[in-house]
Amino acid sequence: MNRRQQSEPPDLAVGYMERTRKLYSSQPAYRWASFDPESEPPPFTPIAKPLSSLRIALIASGGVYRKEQEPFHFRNDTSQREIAIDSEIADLRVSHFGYDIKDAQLDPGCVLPLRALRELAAEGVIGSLVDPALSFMGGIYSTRLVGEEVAPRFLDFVLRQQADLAYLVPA
Amino acid sequence: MLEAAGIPTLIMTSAWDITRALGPPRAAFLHAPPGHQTGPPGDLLAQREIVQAALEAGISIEKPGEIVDLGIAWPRDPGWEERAYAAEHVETDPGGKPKRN
Repeated sequence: MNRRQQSEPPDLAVGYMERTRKLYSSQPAYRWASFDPESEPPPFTPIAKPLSSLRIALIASGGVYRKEQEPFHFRNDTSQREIAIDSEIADLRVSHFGYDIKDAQLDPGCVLPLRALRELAAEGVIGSLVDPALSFMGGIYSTRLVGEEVAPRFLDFVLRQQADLAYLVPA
Repeated sequence: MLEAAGIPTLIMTSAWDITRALGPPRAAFLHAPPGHQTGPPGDLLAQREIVQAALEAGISIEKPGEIVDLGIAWPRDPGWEERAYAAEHVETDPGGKPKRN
């Protein structure tokens, strides 16, 4: 594990912002967020307990849903799915346009690590895993919708579940 | 929003530059291809290793905005870094817009 200066990416890290600029060069330039944690630190709530006591809520944006649920659509779908944490691979499906979902379809654990977290909870590495996990489809173009619709629902969920930590997993 | 409301958060990422621009309170970086944020398909041991490492690193972050590099290698699929979202590897429609998966 390496701690490094905030501004230094690891040598191997892919420069996604530059690549997506080139990839979408036929479109108007995307307005990336910019935030300097040195001059403007983000909000920060200290974690008061050890990992083995933490109640953890998983929130993932890879577009996983259960087979009996509606798939996500691709026109700013801000909906979420509740995924029972004991769901088997055979119960799960994936719909997302922003990444190659082939491996996630084979094993949703690539983007929604239910079994890994269940086992860590069973072994006491983490305190407990909130049931259900929350899943949504992260390809939402409207930051306004994310702020107005998606984030408040997550906050409400995490508060109701009395989670100690929200573990956010993008695809 | 969650952090400001008193809920600690940890975000995983495989896109360092994007995460740096966003500035979340805590982040754990894994150098992996898109769509594999918590590990390779069918490899539960790797997924457990990645998730545990991320959580352990994440809760030890003391400086707001820090991104910890988990330092876990991704030995599969050599050359994936060149292909990820790279314009020359993506089909485009006649208007130059990338085709969706």
